[in-house]
Amino acid sequence: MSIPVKLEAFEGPLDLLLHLIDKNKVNIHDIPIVEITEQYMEYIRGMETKDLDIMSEFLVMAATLIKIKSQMLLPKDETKEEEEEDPRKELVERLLEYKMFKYISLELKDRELDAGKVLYKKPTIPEEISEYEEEVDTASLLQGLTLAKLHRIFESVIKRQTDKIDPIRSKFGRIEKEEVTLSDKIEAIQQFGLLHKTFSFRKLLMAQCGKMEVIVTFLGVLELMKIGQVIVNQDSLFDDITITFVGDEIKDMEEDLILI
Amino acid sequence: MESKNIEAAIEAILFTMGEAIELERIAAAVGQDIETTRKVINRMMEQYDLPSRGIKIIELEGAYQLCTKIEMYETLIRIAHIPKKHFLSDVLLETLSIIAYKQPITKIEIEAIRGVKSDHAVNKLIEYNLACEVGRMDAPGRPILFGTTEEFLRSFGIQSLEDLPVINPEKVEDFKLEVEEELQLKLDI
Repeated sequence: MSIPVKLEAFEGPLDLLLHLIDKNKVNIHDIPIVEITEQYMEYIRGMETKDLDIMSEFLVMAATLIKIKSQMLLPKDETKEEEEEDPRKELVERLLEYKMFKYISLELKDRELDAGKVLYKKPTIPEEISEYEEEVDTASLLQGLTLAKLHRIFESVIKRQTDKIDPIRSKFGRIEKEEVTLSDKIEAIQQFGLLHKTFSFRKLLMAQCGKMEVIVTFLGVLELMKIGQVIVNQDSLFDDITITFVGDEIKDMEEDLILI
Repeated sequence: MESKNIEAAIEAILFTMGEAIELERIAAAVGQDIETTRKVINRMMEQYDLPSRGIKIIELEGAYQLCTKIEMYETLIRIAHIPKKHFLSDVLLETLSIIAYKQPITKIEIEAIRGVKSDHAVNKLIEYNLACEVGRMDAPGRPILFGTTEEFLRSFGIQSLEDLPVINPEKVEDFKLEVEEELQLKLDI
């Protein structure tokens, strides 16, 4: 027996179960578990969804049904004095609750239809009125305040602020993203060198903005000296340093730098 | 203030504010105690009920707001092009009714009743300002508790949460009887 309904029609396993119960015209309190489980399983097999989340919800319900089915198939323990609880009870309660909310939501829908026909007016208070704030009377606010008292308050605020700082953690500071990388800078110097061959170290530094860039540029020059792409010269002490680019290509330093 | 003047003042307040105003604020504004103000408003509500009036005062959880009467809708859409209202899908209505009746409620509890994941539905209801966070449950993970908003009351013409359609216990019995009868019919054949 196939069920000619698409998955989309059901909101979830409870919805499908309710549908099957209605379809089979059975009492919710007396679900013929065997038949319903079979139909339910058949339906799941026919499901085309690949969505694991949805599928698993339906499978959990199937497992519940099979569990109930097997419990009902087991012979009753005659020796037990108290009556065994119907394994369907919990499921029935869930189904009834679900059915009830489905019913309530229909009631709400009717109300929404009516309420939708009631119109409201937006507030029409001019901005200067709604945003008006009474001026603060500083004289009365500062009444009885002396300079000494103000100073005490200031001190205590500052102290609270210092107390708040964790002496160990605060030293870690913030980890900031490095804005200029050494390899980028080296490449820039190489580009410059290819164009100009000889250039002033001072001018190179002057072209940099920020302390960090100057430092990285300096490191870059050192690095290029090390691999022999530039030769530096200084005529006398404190004189400008001349950089001569002797390489003839841009060497990719990225990997080397990582190794350093 | 003379009683007629109080009415006039309240009318002006409700008209200008265009939102639900708490009884306390109205009372403070007109310089009357809360009980007197409530009486005046109730009397005004009766007067607005006359068929010769097109507006009325509604109460929303102890706050008051002016709005048009339902009967005026047909006339109003002729003069103003009211955008078509998008009514809530069954899924959203179902979720909203669970929140309305069980609030404050967590998403897990909603899902337990519906038997399906409900993130999407809950988020949509929050987006439509029909549901909102009302706090956190004192349990592991401190899950968010959801409840309904004033907009919910307005959208469904409900005065207060106590005024929600009652879940009739007889209706539950009806559900049971219905299916039983069907079963009976089937057996008779």
